[in-house]
Formats: sequence, C-alpha cells, structure tokens
Amino acid sequence: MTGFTPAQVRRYSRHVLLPDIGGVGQARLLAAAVVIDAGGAAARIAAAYLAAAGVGRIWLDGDLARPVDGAAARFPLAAGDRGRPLGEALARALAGHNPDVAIAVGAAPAGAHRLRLDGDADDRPLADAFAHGGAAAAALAHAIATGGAR
Amino acid sequence: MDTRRITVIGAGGLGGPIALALADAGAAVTVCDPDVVELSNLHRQVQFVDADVGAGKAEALARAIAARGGVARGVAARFEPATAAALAGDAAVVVDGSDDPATKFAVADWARAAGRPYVIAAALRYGGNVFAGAPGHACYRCLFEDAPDEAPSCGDSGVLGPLVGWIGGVAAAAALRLAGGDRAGAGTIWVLDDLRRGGPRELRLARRAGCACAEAA
Repeated sequence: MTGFTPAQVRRYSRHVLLPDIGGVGQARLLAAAVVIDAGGAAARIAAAYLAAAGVGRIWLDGDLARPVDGAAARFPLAAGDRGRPLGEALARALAGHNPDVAIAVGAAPAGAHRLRLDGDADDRPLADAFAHGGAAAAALAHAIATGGAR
Repeated sequence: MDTRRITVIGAGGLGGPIALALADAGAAVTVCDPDVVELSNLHRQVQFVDADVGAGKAEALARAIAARGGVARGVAARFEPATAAALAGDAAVVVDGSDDPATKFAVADWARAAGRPYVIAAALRYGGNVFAGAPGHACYRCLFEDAPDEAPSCGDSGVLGPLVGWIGGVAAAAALRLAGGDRAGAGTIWVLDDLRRGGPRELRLARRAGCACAEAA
C-alpha cells in the first residue's frame, strides 16, 4: 500500500484485504466524488457509511436548508442537532467519522457519482433505513472501488 | 423478563446498527462487548467517531444511543454461559452481532434453554446472514450443528464496510418482529451470499432430526 499513511493503512485494512478492492480500490474510493440526495433517513445512513469507507469528497444535496426536527434528529444526527440547518448538521456529523473525507453542502462537480433513494423519508424505521442505506452504499462503494460505471 | 428490553451481543459493525435501530423503535437495549474501539473498526462501525478510539465499545455505543434519546446500558463483558443470565436474563429477545462463532452458539443455546426468541447475524467479505429463532421452531444448531474449530474473521478476510449496515438493519427488523410477538419469521435464515452476484435469499428451515431442540420439544 504505497501512498497511504500508517493511520490509513489501519483504518482501511478490512477493505484492502478484499480481493476486488485492495490498495488500488481503496485509492479509488479516496479519490472519488459522490453527491448524495440526503433528504431521507436511508440516504443519510448511506452517507455515513460512504464517509466511513473513505469516499474522499461527498456533496450533500436535497432539501437540507430546513432545520433538524422530529424524525430527522436520528442517526447519524443527534438530539443536539435539533434546530440547526439539516445540511450543516449532517456535514458536521459525517466529518467526525473520517478526517480523510471532505464534506460540502450544495451543487456537486460534473462527473460525480450520485446516490439517490426513491421513496426515502425522514420517518422511515431505522432498521429499514440501515438495510436500504447500507445496501445502496455497499453497491456504490464496490462499484467505485472496482472502477465500475456511474 | 421485560418485554421492551432487548440484549445485543457485540457493539461493533453489526451490533451498532442493530442497537441503534432497536433503541429508535423504543426498546431498552443492553449491549455487551469486552473490546475497545480501534482505528481499524472505523471504516464500518459508523456509531463511533475518531474521538472514540480507545474507549470501551459497549459504553461508547450506549452513549451514541443516549445522544439520540434512546435507552441503553453498555456492559464491558463477553456473553458466555457464566454471564448470560446477568446480561440477558431480563431480555425479551437476544440478538447476536458478534464476530465469534463460539459466542453465536452460546447465544443460541442459552436462548433455547431459556425459551427466548433470538436473532444471530454475521457478515464477512461481501456477504452475510441473519437467523431468527424461537421456541417451537428450527434452531441455529438445526442448520449449523456445531461451531467450527476455525473460522475466517473480518480481521483476516476483510469486509466491505457498508455491508454491515445492510445486515444489521435486516437483523434489527427481525428482532423487532419477534419482540412484537410475530413468530412468522422464526426458523428462517436470510442469506446474502455475495452482493456481487445478486440479492439475499430467504430460507425457511425444518427442524433437524436429532437436534437438541427437537428432542426437548
């Protein structure tokens, strides 16, 4: 694994062990840009997993100017985020997962991968949100790491 | 037994989403894990942040749940026959998200003996599975019989990070159905063989002749 810091070697070791990914695939993840329509619970969980996985640049899109309230104040957000603009609060929460990842709210650059989950909503049961958000993030992370199409 | 209390064994990649989802649905969660958060956990254990490295996993997960308004207690302990009653004696459902086959069999055996419904989840590389058990239905040993002498782990074989959210969410949903008295999924295993080759399968199991659960019925 050339080009990785010792901390990155430890952080991503479980990815590097995977036959399809290795150091090359993890480097692709770190170089990737993804825009996430983060207006619903499952997409926000997908965002947390993609940040943890080391997707290097994440843009948060969607109806994110509204304040965190009600069912939106759930993982990866927290009760202390109530009243803050949703996009700002989510960016702050995701940044805590991985210092390798840059998080921004707003328009993404051309060529970014996109993650959008139809029918997603704030009040989706969290078990369902983890299952669907995790599945979507897993598929996208694998596609990026293996050089798959957008 | 408290019908709202659920014990989650393991506070890592699977235990995190399981416990967060159960607490969000109103369960009072006991989570146990003897380990501390390591940097190598953070590519998939999204309940933790960098500042948690070095902290006890169970306690850190309980804090993450409390920060979302949930009810949880974290116990730095391994689930085994000697600790089972203290960790799960008051639980309506027991959920295993550990990475240790011996622990999974200990959970299944204790739950069967105690007459409790249970869920056992596992994830590795690009796949995973979730088994749901309850009295009167096929049990974990009806399928797997005995713990293997050696088994691969995430530490030596890897795991795609977001996959654990998928498996954990399926496990939490199964546990909530059992906690609500719905036994339709008992004796069922959901298997994601490999996400690169398609979606999950649902397999309904019959009891295995000679299994301890059939002999006890």
